[in-house]
Amino acid sequence: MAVNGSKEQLFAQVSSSCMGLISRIALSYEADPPLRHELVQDILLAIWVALPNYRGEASVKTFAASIAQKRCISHVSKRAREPRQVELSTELASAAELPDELALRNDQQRHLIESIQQLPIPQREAIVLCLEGFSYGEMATILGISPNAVMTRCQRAKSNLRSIMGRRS
Amino acid sequence: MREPGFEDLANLWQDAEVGDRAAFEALARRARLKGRLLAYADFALVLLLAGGLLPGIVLAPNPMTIAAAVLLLVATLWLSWTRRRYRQMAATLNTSDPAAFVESSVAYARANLRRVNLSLILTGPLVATAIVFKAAKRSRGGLETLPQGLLEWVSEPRSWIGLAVVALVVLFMLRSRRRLRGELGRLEELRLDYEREKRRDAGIE
Repeated sequence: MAVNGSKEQLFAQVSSSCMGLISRIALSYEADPPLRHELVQDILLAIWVALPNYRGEASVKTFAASIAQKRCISHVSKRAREPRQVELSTELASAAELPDELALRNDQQRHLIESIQQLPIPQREAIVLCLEGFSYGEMATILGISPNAVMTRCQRAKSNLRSIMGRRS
Repeated sequence: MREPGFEDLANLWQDAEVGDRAAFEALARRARLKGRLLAYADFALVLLLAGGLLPGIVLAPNPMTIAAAVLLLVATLWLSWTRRRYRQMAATLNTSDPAAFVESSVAYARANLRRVNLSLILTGPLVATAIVFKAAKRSRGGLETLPQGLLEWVSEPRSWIGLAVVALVVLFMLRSRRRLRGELGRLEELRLDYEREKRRDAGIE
């Protein structure tokens, strides 16, 4: 392994700093909570397996996102039947807000997540990375396309997301 | 309700902290343990086979040794299956981007489907050969007495148990084939999606 730190340390770093990222990537592919739980475990195992190949050229976050996306693709392709439409739970609730604001925010959040889940996978990957705040350069590394291609794909994904959200509301 | 801008959407998205940290840490610990155990799977398989074969050579057959042999067989199959999945996962993760990952996943799914199809094709002739071999052993190799040997073999409950096991294996393979076909279909669709998206990225479509 060409990077500083042992596999254990790197894994600890990934699991402590990328919890939200991994959970949200899994959320964009799997609505069913028990299946999502399994998917997150699968992603973590895949990260452990892939760590010896981590050369430190990209950030740990980029590395984790890349592995997570691939495991999610495997998960979707292995799914025996079409995904159930699961009502997302109120566990998505965020910081302390007034009940009305909180309800509105939860509703918007649910709306956003369900709309993302409807995007074609190549666009879903791009939009999730965009929403996670990755730069076009980092996204290019993860998606294996040029930064220009990333930009156009993100534009398309954003416009599709808006039209899905518009249709749903 | 005003139309949220992309920044608002990003904030909304990043706010969706799903699950709690303790549960995530527990998952991470379990994944690490599983990863460590899997790394020693080859070694465990050798130990299992050696540990199972040695007493088998020394001990006389009795219900205990037969039960141990069945357990050994199941453990060996499970371990081999786990090692295969682990290797497949490790190999496909080495691809640089999702499109290449889908390509290699398609190749793996095709190889698995070929393997299952071949097993299904070979099961029939192999079982038939095994039955004829058993019957021939009973009839001491004589062609004329072979039907008699076959009838004797069929009349034994052990034969039916064996055939039931073979039928179960065939059913399992058919189920695997159906799943693999579904997976391959979804992966092919996904590959087309990536190709379409790539063309759009380049402004061709």
